Amino acid sequence: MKSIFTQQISEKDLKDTHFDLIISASGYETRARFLIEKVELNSSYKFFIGFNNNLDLFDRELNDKTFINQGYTSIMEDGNNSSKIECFLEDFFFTNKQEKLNILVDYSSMTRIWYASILNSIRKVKKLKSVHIFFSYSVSEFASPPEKHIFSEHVEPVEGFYSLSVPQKPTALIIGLGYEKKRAFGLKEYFNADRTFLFHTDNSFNKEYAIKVIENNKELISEIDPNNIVKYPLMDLVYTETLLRNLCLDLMVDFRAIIAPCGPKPFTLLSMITSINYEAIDVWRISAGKSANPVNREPTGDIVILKAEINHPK
Amino acid sequence: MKEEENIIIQYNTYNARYLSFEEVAESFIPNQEFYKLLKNDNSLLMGPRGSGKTTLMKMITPGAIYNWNSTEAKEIHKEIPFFGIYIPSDIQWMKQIQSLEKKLGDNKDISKSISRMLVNTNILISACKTFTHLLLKIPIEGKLLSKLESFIKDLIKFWNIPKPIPLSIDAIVDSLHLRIKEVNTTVNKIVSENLHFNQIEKPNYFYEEFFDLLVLACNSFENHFKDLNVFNSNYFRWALCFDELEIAPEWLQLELLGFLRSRNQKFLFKLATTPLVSLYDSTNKKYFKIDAQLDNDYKIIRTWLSSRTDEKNWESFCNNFVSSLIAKKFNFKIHPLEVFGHYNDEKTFYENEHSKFQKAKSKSVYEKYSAFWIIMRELAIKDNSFNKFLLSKGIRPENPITKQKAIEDSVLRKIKPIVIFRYYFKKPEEKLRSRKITALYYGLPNIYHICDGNPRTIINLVTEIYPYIKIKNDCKVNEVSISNQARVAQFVSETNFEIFSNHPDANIVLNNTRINLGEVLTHIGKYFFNKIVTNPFTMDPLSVFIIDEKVDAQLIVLLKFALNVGAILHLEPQEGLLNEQELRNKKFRLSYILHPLFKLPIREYHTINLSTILMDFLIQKNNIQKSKDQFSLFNK
Repeated sequence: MKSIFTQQISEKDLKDTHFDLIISASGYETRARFLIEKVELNSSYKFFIGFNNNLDLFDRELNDKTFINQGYTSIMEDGNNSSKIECFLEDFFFTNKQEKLNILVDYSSMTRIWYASILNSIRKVKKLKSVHIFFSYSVSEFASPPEKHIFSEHVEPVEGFYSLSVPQKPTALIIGLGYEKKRAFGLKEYFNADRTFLFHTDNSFNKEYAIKVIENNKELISEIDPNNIVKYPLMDLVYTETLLRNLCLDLMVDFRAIIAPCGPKPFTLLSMITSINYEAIDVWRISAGKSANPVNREPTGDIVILKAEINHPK
Repeated sequence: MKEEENIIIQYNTYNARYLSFEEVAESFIPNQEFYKLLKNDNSLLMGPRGSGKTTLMKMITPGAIYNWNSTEAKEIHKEIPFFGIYIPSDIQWMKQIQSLEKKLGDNKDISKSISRMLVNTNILISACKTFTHLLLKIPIEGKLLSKLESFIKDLIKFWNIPKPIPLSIDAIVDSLHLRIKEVNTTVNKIVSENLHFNQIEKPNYFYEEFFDLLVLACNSFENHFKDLNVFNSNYFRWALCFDELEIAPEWLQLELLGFLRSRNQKFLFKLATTPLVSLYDSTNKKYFKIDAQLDNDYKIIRTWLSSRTDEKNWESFCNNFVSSLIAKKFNFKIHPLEVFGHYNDEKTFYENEHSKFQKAKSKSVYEKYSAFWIIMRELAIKDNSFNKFLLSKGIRPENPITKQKAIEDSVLRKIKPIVIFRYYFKKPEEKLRSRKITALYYGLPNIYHICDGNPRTIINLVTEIYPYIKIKNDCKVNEVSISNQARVAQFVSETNFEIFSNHPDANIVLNNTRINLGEVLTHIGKYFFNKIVTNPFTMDPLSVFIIDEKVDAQLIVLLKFALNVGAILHLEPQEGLLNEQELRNKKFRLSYILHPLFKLPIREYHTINLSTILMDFLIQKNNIQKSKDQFSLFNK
């Protein structure tokens, strides 16, 4: 049964909302501070998670300074870890007495592990009657993917977004394609997947990005039945979520489905939301981890916001 | 030619896991391993990924074997000494369990209990499938209906299935699946409420042993149905067929290896695993000792080729198998020879350098003006070391023939494949021809040998050949051209290489440097290519390596992975079980499927230490890392 409802909202809606908590991330990307510079946000409490490495790379110092100047407190965390984030949120919810909360999460510069752990921590707080999480993503200018193929180091279920099963049904694999060369190559064989589906963005997100996705995954795309390849409009999050949800619903009958998002962060977020709604759906992390080369990402000026409403029936 | 090049090659990996028991039976072609597996003993079926283990394991269960229609099937139906229970495993499952262990951290008791519960449930569901397939052989009516009901009541009682429940095996399976949902709820409770395992009320199924539950259920089945003629009441044994043991939880792997020492006369264990068995017990931090005696308590069945007899069996299997694949695709029965033709060293030159070799066709191999004579003469002109070699053997380079049969046998016959490769790649003045496709991989049995005993590879290769098969009006087919056969071999070789290299476990960190399996394989491949083609001619080049004492332990981790996925092969495996501790001082070679990519002959030559092969590579990697470190220090 669906337990999380989503709608796409505008920047104006953000301006008009009072938040109980804002969570951002500060790294070396220029876009990390874009939201707080562009939109005047009103919140009772705000903090940012700072990456504990690359402290002097690109815009890192300026980002930290901007957050601190706006009254944000901070915690430092490894990109592959989330224990401090979970502790922080546990404390926050322990001291907070409200039953309804508005929380803004700017995940533009967060790692998947971070925003997965935030979403997971929030949804597990049973004392909340309802919580509205506003996921904000600042779209970045196109930056070419690394020419050199960086092999995946982490292929594992995302904590909080998988459930235990028995291998009596075959695996169906839904891959969200990204633009890195061959990131998704070999996954079908790795999982011994019976069915494989590919999701890739249309041009509405970024034309150059969409072309690179196709170019850098051409071997994999050529292997898959064209009927199993889905083009989605990333800027229309709710529609994309519906596409994903409907496919998962179909697959759940005969398969154990895995969503392996290798692509844009909003798709990963939608995968996690789908997994919350249908617990039998696993979300897996496919990542180069620390081997990834740092790339600065400049904002285009566009922000995509998804409002997710989680209700805990009493 | 252009049209041929434009054919889009698609690569679809075949996997028996996808197929139902009935589907596996439908296309099954028996091989020697199958007959060995049918024997009344415990077996360890070992082979790299894709070597047909799942097909064989599924085929020895009632669901498949009674649906297998062939001449030999009827005899086997009568004589098979057990009923197989196929127990699957997969990577998704294994990683879920590993993630659970990580999540529960120090609480090892909880994760082990949950892992046991999941394994038990998986086995019981598998047993239900076998019972169902067996019961399909009986017309369930009258007295038999009450026997069936009584049997199901036993299952409900023995397996603690909650009541009320409809009296059907499907309902029991549903109830077992419900346990998985319950265990997920339990885990969520433990994690979100920070509970201790003891604080949660747990159903009995957390404390049960799968073997005891199976014994009860199988005995009940026998008691209820042994009088029926359809079953071989003389035998009434059960074979627990655990597939992909290498990815099952560690405790289960060790427990099952322990079970190989006869546990219960009514039960056999058929375990399928990769060529390397892990015997490390991480809980007790020591290596597990198998009490069972090889050949007395269990037999090893290997799917890869390690002897001339294996090769001959493989060729014969491939002839039947490829023929059936083509028949299924084109609805047309032909022998694979019609598609691939015979392999012959000189054939590629007759086809590609027609004018030079036209007259040579009528000559015998070592005769003057034969193709090999022309090749040796020309090679001696552009390859000084070969020229010297011939002279050293008393053969004149300008007329390389000999009247001595002994020299023909011991020298010319032996050097022929090496000479062919050197001639094919060498240009005058020690330069090399850059050839995109190596037109030396074609014909039978060469094409079969490239697949190295791996049915999945032969399926992939034949599937890629389909677009080139043209059936003529007279119901004959054209032999696929050498260049197209070689193109397909090259493609399958490259794709396998990519799959090996892109696997998430194909990376290690050695001295702060990340090393991918693809880099190591490439270095080994290039090293052997140089030894065969570029370096001074020798009739004893290298193509086999030993993992010697100087090879770093981290690198061995990568080589273990390579062995398990079939990127490298263990030679001379007759010594028994190969476990992780014992890789050193063993002989290996690159899988033949990688040979088209690295342009190597499909042959085994002499041996060299791996540390010697990789010395330059590791120094180079180390230097890159050092300069990277210096650069980042400078930047700081």
